[in-house]
Amino acid sequence: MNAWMLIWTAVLLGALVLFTGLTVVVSIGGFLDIRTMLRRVRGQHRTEPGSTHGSS
Amino acid sequence: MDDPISLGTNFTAIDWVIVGVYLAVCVAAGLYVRRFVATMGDYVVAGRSLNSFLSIATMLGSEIGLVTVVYAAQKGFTGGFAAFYIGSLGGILCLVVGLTGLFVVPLRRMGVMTIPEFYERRFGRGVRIFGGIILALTGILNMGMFLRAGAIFLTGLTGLTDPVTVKVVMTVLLLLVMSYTVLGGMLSVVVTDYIQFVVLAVGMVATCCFALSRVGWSTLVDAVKTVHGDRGFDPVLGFGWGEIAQNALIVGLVSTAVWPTALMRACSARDVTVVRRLYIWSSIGFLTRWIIPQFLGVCALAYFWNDPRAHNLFFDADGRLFDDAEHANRTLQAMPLFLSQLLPAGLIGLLLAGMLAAQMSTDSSYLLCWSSVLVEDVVNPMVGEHLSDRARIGLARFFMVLIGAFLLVWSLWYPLGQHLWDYLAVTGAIYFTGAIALLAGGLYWRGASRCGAYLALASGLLAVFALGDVRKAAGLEWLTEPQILLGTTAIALGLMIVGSLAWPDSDRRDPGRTAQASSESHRESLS
Repeated sequence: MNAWMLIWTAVLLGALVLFTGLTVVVSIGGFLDIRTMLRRVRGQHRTEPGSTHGSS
Repeated sequence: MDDPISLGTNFTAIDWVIVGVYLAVCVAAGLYVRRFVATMGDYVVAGRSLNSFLSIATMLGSEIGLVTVVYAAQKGFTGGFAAFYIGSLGGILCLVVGLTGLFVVPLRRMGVMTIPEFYERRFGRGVRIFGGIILALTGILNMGMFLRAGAIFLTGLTGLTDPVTVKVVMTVLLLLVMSYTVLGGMLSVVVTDYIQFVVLAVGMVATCCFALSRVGWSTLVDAVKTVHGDRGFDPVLGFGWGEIAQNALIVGLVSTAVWPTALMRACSARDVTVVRRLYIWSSIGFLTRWIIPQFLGVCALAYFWNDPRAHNLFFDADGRLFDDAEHANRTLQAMPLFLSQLLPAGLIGLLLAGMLAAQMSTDSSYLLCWSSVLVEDVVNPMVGEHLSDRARIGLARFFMVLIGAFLLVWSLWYPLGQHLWDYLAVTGAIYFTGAIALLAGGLYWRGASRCGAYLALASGLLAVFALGDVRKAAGLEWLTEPQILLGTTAIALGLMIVGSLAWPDSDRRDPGRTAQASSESHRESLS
């Protein structure tokens, strides 16, 4: 049981630390990605004359 | 079925304000981006323009659902620390998928929007329609319990015990999700998923740290030791090899590389480099989406074991945990009830906002996924691909409304006679047992044929015998759920091989060349 307890303690701590780090990185990077994505989608429509903005 | 339990709650008006502000921001953001939707490509895969960080946020936002949190907490409550093996398998196998590119990289290279679209390119239109019908029906059935999980969490955390009020709140929540998903499609889903991921992640980590500091590590270990003994630590003793193998398949392989909502993220990624990065980074989320809720379930176990007011709700006179089908709903309520007693005002509102975020992002992704499958893989192929973008988007919206109505009815009527996770595993298995055979055969074996594909898809229906009531009616109680699910997967793979060898296709298609040709032909139409 002690060995399992050590493993699960390490898994829990590791998950918390990694997830906290991931949250910080993804929060900042994701915000910048949203701006890029909307700019790219708008750019794609400009090159497609048939597309209808806001038609949906 | 148990009635909702209430022990009083720390939830106050401040918490309702936090939740209200969050919901308003989310819906406003979702509605704002609808103006960017012009084509079906925008609507279903966001114009294939997702970069790495946004892909990760949207993948985790939708895959860490409230339903996941609730059933994972139930596993922690009933299984102790040993249940952590499930999250560990999920994280490790997601990492393996990212490193090897199993299924996801070749699918992204082909440029497909849905799994059944791959079926058509590899096996023909009939397989696409048949696979699309199975996928949509089982997916909608699988989603049928999501609102129930949300209602249980809301009831436990806020102390709302009037069933009518809870149903009204859940209906309003579904309508909010539908409002932005119906209008904005994948673009709205990814933007709201991002907001929801941030709120959810902060709420989960803060709650976990708070619960640990209040309950105490030694109290947790002692409670698990007393209630579960060694079974609460050793997964082989606690769950057995059969369930471990089943979860390696479902939590590890299926939920990352076969389940359509996860694969839609891979299909929406900008290129295969983003796909690999998405899976490697998401492995942390696939680990955590189980570990943190399971830990909260363990905390709930320790809390109620030591709380004389609530002890007899979860334990019998001899101190044994109620863990049978009859009490499945009660053990589902343990974690939210625990949090309603523990968290202070403000933090409890943040957590509910995070959890509703989880529910909304999952609901929106699933609504979009199943309606897209019905349009792209069932209706449109049936009419010879003659539907315009406008008609396809309109039809997808119509199906979303139908699915939403079904969810409300099914969530209220279906009596859940087993653990929530088991219901989800079985309903999902009807699709994924066949899908694994088609993906493995179609992508990696030249000899895989149309006949083998039909047989493999049809054999997935055998998984329905793993549902408790069906198994009893068929006199198959001597078989366990893992035996039926793993057996069905083996049968599907076997039938794919036998069917392909016995009835090979006359127009045999090379998986590698199909991927390359498809990638080239679709690059122009979707870029």
